[in-house]
Amino acid sequence: MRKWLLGALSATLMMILSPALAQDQITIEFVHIFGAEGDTRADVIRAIADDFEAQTGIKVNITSPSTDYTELFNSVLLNAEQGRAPHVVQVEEGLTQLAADSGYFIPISELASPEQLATFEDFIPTVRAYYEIDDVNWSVPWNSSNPVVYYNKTLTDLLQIEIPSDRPLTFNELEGICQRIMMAAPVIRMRAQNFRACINWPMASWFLEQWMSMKGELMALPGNGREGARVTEMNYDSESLVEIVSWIGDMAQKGYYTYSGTPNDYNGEGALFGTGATAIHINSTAGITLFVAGFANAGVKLGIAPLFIPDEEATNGVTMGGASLWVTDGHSDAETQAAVDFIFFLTKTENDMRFHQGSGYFPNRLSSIEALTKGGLFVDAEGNPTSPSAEGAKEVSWFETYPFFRIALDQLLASKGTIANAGAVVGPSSEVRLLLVRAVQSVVDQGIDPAEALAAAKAQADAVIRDYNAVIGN
Amino acid sequence: MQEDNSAPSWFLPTISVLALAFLAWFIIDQREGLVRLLSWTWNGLAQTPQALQNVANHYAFLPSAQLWPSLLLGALFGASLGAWWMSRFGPRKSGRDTIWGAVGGLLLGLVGSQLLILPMQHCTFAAEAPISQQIIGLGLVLAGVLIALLPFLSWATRRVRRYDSTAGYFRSAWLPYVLLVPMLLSLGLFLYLPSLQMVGLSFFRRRFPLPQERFICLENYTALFQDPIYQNSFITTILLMILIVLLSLGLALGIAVLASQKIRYASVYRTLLIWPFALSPVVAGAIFLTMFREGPTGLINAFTNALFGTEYNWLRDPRLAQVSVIAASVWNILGFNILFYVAGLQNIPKDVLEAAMIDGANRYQRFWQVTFPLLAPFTFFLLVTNVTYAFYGIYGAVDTLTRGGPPLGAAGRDGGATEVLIYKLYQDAFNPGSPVGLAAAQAVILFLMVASLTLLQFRTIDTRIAYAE
Repeated sequence: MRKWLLGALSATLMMILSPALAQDQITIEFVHIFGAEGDTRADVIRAIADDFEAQTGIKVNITSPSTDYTELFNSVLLNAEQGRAPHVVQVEEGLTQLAADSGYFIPISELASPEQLATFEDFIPTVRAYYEIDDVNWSVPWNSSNPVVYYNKTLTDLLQIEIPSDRPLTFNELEGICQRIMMAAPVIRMRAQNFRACINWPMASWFLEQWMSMKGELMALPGNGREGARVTEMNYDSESLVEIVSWIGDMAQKGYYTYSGTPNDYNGEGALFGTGATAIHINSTAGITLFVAGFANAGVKLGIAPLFIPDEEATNGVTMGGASLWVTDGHSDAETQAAVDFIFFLTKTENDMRFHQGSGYFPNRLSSIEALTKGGLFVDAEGNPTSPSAEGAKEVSWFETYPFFRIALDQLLASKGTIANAGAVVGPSSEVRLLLVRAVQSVVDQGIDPAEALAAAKAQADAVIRDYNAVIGN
Repeated sequence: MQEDNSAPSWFLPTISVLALAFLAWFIIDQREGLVRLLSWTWNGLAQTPQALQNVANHYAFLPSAQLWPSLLLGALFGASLGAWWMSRFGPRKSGRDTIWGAVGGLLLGLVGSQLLILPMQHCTFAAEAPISQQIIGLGLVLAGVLIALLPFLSWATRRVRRYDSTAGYFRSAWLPYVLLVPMLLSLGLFLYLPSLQMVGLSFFRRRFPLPQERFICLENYTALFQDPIYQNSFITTILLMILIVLLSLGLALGIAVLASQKIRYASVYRTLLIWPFALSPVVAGAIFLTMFREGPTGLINAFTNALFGTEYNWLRDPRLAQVSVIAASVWNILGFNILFYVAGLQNIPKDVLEAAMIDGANRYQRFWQVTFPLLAPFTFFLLVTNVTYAFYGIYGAVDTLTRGGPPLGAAGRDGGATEVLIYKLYQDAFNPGSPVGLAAAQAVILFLMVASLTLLQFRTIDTRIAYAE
């Protein structure tokens, strides 16, 4: 009995200790938020990482601890405090200032080789500018998105309303269209009983940031926090923003605009549009493939158009949304270099194209856009997508086959790339954005005067920023 | 030990071997974490001499104007409390008791006055500290004196009892403590230590999850009480708590009475009624979201639209949003209350009810004069539990339904209609860039509120309940 026990115990010990005797190999950890059940984007990323492993022999462990940017960021920083941060982290654009202030990340411009840094020229200017603070490139853009307009084309065709896909409509034109749609509302309700309003979009600050950027206005002063000085106040009381919020209040009052009741409810608003409660919808391009597939299944035509502009003169262009890839501190030189190499591999032209085609986020590189305009998709004789090595496969233009991808991209390429397009870099970004949302909510739900609401939001936001700056210093 | 019931002879050795093997595997598998834990503990302990040096330095450089208020107040309060206590409860009730009480009280008062003030580095008595902080500082001195003095006074006036060392389950004196050590260690490491760290955090200005922090004494607390949004949180929490507790207890009592009737399948009904309690508050919130949602996708609005042609803004109107949150919370906790009330009703002795019936009491009199007072222990227990739930557990429902509710006032400067204390605490703690020091202060205040409410309930209601022998 005793010998048997001894033998079993020693065997167990050997099994447990054997991993520690394995060879030294460079392993890097990469975390992202696309780990939900059935999310095909995770498969695309894994395939790219497998190619990297095959080429370099560096093992890449990819995990998705959360599907929420904020939770992911919190867990990464808590791990970093204990010295166990993952090497590559996907950080949302709104968290840029926090990531820079935390001290747990190293700017990519300090780590990348000159050849790698030269590839930054290939990025779309607005995209690149979004992750630059004070001429320092902290991170590499990865998944970028824009808002676009989705609309029920079957309905608008029926009512003989035209929404062009090559030029954005102004607010006034949109109001005219909504007036015509709402006049036909009783008829619409005979087919779709839950039709409620002409247009809906998430009650979030992102869309107001777009409209301010279109007008060339800054959201935060001085200089959106990008010109060497920290942000000290938010520009919420600017005339342009008061105008925009007044317009939203008017639309709500006339019954043209509605929302689900919960702020930042991107999924809920999409569901409202998808179930026919509204005719027009504004949402991120990140969900483009979902909307296209959903409407195709329902047998209803879906139209996609560029985001509305406040007026004819607002031509400065949109800002962005999405996330970028950051490298954490506290690893060996070999591992840090491996992490940087992986990031540039993941975002090089070929993989940039692969990720766009597999996700809906638009390609970040001008070379990717060129390649996808000339080709990028292989079809067989019937025109169905097929693999490049199949018999009779012919290469066609990706963007010509799927023109709706082009719309968001053209919108972004047309933006001027000024500081206004680059968006605000603020420490307590979620708080100040929520205050703007609350201001719009009080205008839409309670009918409070827009100037008063925005002034109250500005007062609170400025106090938050003062408090933040008092802690972080300099 | 009976012959028939004893375990086979190989049982105990096998179990011991398996347990040892599991322990060995666990320690080896988690060696990295265990080593880190041990080194962290050792580092903490190794800093003790440095910590003592810091304390000595602090007192050496402290201006006397900052030091004497706490010492003087501690000495006076300690001496008078000690003297009064010993004169009333002392064993001999003579003048000597009073003197001993005064002397002991004086010394312990001096020590106790520093207990709570020292970790804050005497910042409340600094020259530039506002009046509100100075007053709170005086209060902390008194609290510290009480903490230091009361154990001593209780010991000094104890009734002497002879302990029978052979009584009880454990023969040896040390085994009980050995068995308690793991539990105490984990409680200390994962509950008490983080709580103390959080109290420490409440004296800093800090932005989650960045590591930078600034010491600001009691500014977080004074800022909170002057903040209209926090005041709104306070009032909203109290209001929702009263409504939730009254509704859930009342409904539960009625349903429990109905479910205790002698009807067929009564046990099935009782089980089904208890089930909602097993759901987490988030799930209950999600269920009620499908009912209260705006527009025709919400079940309630679909009904009212079909019947009356009207729809209600359940989540966007301030009052209706509160109704939604109350409904979800009451439904969630109802099962728990019903469970206990059913048990309580089953324990009502039948002879008392029969006696009441013979005395001519009708159904309502029998219920209110006999049944309800006999249910008092259950009601009291459920009151305490429901109040705790209304303060803490309500978070799940609020987060799912309203996210703090429709904002009141321009840009929400008057708070949110359903922004309860625990929800505001989470928002201020875990959003990126949020003021986590402020959240720690809110957590301390919330803890003190619930603790004192519970204490109050124990002192006032519990004394009036007749527990069955």
